[in-house]
Amino acid sequence: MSLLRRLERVLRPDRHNAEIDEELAFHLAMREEERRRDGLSEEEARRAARLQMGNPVAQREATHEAGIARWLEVLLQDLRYAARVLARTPALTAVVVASLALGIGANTSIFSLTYALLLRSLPVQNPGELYALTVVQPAGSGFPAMVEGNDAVTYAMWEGVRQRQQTFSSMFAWGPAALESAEGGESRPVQGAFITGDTFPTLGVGPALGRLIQAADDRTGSAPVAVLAYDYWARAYGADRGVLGRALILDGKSFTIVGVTPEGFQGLEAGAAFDVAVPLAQEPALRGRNSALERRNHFWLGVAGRLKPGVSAAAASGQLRSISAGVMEAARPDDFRSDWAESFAKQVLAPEPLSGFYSFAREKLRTPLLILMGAVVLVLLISCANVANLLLARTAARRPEMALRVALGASRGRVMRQVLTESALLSLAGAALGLAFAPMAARLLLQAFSPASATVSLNVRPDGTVLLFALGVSVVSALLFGSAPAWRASMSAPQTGMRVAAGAAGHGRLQASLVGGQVALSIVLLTGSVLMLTSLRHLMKAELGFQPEGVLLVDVEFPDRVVGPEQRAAFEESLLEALRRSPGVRSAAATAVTPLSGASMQMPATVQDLDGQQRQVHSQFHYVTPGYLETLRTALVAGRDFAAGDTATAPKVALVNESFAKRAFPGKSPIGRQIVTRIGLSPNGVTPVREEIEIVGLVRDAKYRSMREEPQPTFYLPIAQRKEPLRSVSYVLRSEGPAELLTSGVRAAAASLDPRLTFTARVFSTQIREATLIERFVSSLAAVFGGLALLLAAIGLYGVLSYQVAQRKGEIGVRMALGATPGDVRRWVFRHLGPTLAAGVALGVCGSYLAGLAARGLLYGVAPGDWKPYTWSVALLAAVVVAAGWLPARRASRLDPITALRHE
Amino acid sequence: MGRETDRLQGTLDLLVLKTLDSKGTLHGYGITVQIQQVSKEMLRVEEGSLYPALHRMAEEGWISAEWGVTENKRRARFYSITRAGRERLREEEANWQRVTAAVALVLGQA
Repeated sequence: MSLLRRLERVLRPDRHNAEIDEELAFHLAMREEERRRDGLSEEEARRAARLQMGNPVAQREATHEAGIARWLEVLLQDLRYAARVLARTPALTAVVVASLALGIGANTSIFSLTYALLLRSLPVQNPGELYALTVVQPAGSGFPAMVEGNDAVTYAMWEGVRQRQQTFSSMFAWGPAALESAEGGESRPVQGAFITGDTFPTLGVGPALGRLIQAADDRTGSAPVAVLAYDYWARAYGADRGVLGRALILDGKSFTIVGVTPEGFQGLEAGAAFDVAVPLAQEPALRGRNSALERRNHFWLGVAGRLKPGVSAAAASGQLRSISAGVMEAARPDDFRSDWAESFAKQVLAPEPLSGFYSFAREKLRTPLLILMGAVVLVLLISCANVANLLLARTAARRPEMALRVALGASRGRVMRQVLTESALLSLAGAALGLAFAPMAARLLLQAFSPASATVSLNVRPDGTVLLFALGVSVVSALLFGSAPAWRASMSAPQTGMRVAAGAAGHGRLQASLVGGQVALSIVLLTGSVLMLTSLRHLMKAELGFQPEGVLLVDVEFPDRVVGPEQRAAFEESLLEALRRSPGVRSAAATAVTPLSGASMQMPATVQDLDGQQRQVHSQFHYVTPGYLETLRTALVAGRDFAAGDTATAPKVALVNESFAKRAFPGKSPIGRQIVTRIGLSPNGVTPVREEIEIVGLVRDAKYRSMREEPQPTFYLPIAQRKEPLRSVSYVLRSEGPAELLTSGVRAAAASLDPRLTFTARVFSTQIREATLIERFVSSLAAVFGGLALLLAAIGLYGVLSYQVAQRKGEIGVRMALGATPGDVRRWVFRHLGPTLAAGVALGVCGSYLAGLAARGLLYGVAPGDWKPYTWSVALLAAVVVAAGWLPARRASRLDPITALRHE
Repeated sequence: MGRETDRLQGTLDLLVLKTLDSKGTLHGYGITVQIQQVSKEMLRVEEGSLYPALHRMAEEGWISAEWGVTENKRRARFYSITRAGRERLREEEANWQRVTAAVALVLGQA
């Protein structure tokens, strides 16, 4: 009976019972007829038949259970027997379980990350009805990447959507907020979120404690309230239920804590959970003149909503499309250049399912995670091949036992079932061990993934889905590595099997092709890790355009309550002076954005040639103080650096980099030419201010936003001549010794000006390491997996060769008797595997190329088609093959021909 | 499972297998009738244990079951013996011979 039928019987007993009932009814009817023929009346006949039959329900039960009980009994028998067999060879069992645990555990931990990040749904009501708003820009849009995250919208756009949409029963918006909480005199950064009053009701999320933010809280003039995320509540307050009603000082403003979100609610975006949520209406009060509500060029809000019952995604899509033009028209940023404004107006709104969240982190980690997922699957396949090989060898040793069982009447299916039961037991043991370490591994991986500056918080606790995945993986592995030995065992014919160790050429072929497969997979993993390591090396060697060693970066916030807008410039200047004077500082400067932080300021610059011809160059730009170039050691090629005389009232000046000069003034010196640019908004916040800036210096290209970018046209402006307020300023300090030593001096300098100042100091070279975090992470894991693959392949190879040498002792003996030298024998052993290895290498190289294509996004300075990585991996593998084969080959060459022949 | 039931079950199994072996395909009722007739009404199959035994033996693979239609056009489940069942039958027969021979020896001595 098929397993499926049997499972159906256990799970759906009613159908089976109906069959039994019918069968019993038939029996009863026949018995009745018989009694009637004996001369009884109809009534008497029925009674007699019933009496003879006994209780029909009990009958049915007994019959039903006879089948199932027997099945379970056999299963238990098999399991007991399998456990006994496995316990007889503890070393082999341990090796098999350990390698399966590695394979399954690695898969489970990477899966739980992938799942948490890419697949896990929001812990909300009917997540299928939730859709996020996305903004599709027209093709060939002239809209530059001024926007962080494509789907962020301005407050004006959100208002427009909310008023015009008809397909959502309710919508909500949220925006990130870096806040500072002060409690008990100590201030610390918290991840905040501004949310609209409809957020929690729309999501269908209720409080774990107190109440969540409601529509009434999100009005101008409402009492300021805050909601804590569960994790933050547990972390910062020790899950104290007394927090309700307490005051929480955020950026100097007092909020009343009214509730805590439920456990497991990880915020609205994967990887960017909030600690504290406050109503969006409180934003102007917190940010003051930096409020983003009125700024039509500030794209920062995420928007989502729940569809009305019965409304399809297609209908919502159509309606959003139809209101797009109106929304854009009403929200158009007034200071946009005409071609931007045109692109802006053509933008189309579209819904995207929110059920598996979307977020920046997700986009960024998707490729690396999928690559790692692929790598662990390869590792699992290799370990399955290995286990299959080990079990095949053991099957050979158990031939007499199997033959005996067949001789005693066991069917072929019965023998296969027994061997598969053993495989399943091994696999489950491996999975159990793997599951024990998977959550820890996942947490460690997550920590390695997260830069020190931002914690990626994800729920990686194993839940039903992850457990199911592990179980599925172990079942599939059991079938993968168990089917060959099971089939082989079932072929044990009594006649041949009982004679020990008959020729096993076919057996060897199966084992050899498994080794070939392992070789191919190992080549893929090895080449992959060489590609990643090469990329990393290229990245680290890439010309940065500055020297990060010995530089400390200090980000300082200047909240309005500490420094008023009027005193701001002077305050920044005196802080810079204080920093310059602090011990160990060789030079110091200030900048609006530090390089390689992932952010950049960009704008289109119109340049004017000497002949009056104008050209537009989309550029990145920096605001810096004099001394910035010297501190970072970015070379000045021509002209002069900024000087103390370049003040707010002095003529406007700029420095440009070589890429800018090449693009704007091909073949000519940029010095003395003009940039005409929109530098900010007029005091009314609407009309753009244009001005002419004279280029006074030319500097080397330097990386700005990321390590991977090609040199971009970039210009530098003096921070003193800025037009727009800067929320924060960063200082770059070059140390005479290690950069870390400057931190205490920085603290003293900041405190001397105002003890309320908060700052974060980062060592620049650490920031660079963080900028290559994903590359490091993936390449180090790839190297680990590659090494693991090599190790497994070596074990497999060693096993196969040893087995073959043992099997062919006689043949070797004959060869030696006929005059073969030990060298000949060694070569013979290796030659034997030649075709398998060649096929494995060829397959592996093809596979690596495909894998390289898939991972192209992570490569830098190396292409999937480059031959060097392949050479490396093949050479490494060849070395391992020789090492693994050496022992068996030597053993073969040292055989005593006489003993070998006698053995035969 | 105790020794006692084992032997009793063994006997029922033996009878069912033998009947199916000699008569081919039969339904449950047919098996009881057949055993009764052949044993000249000496052996009457306990109906409470027949169907559980049939299902258990089908599970073991000794007999196979299939739905079919009787001469008077009624649906019934028909059983027939399999190859494994025949082997089993031979074993059981041999066992039975040994046991009865042993019992006979004991009785003869007494």
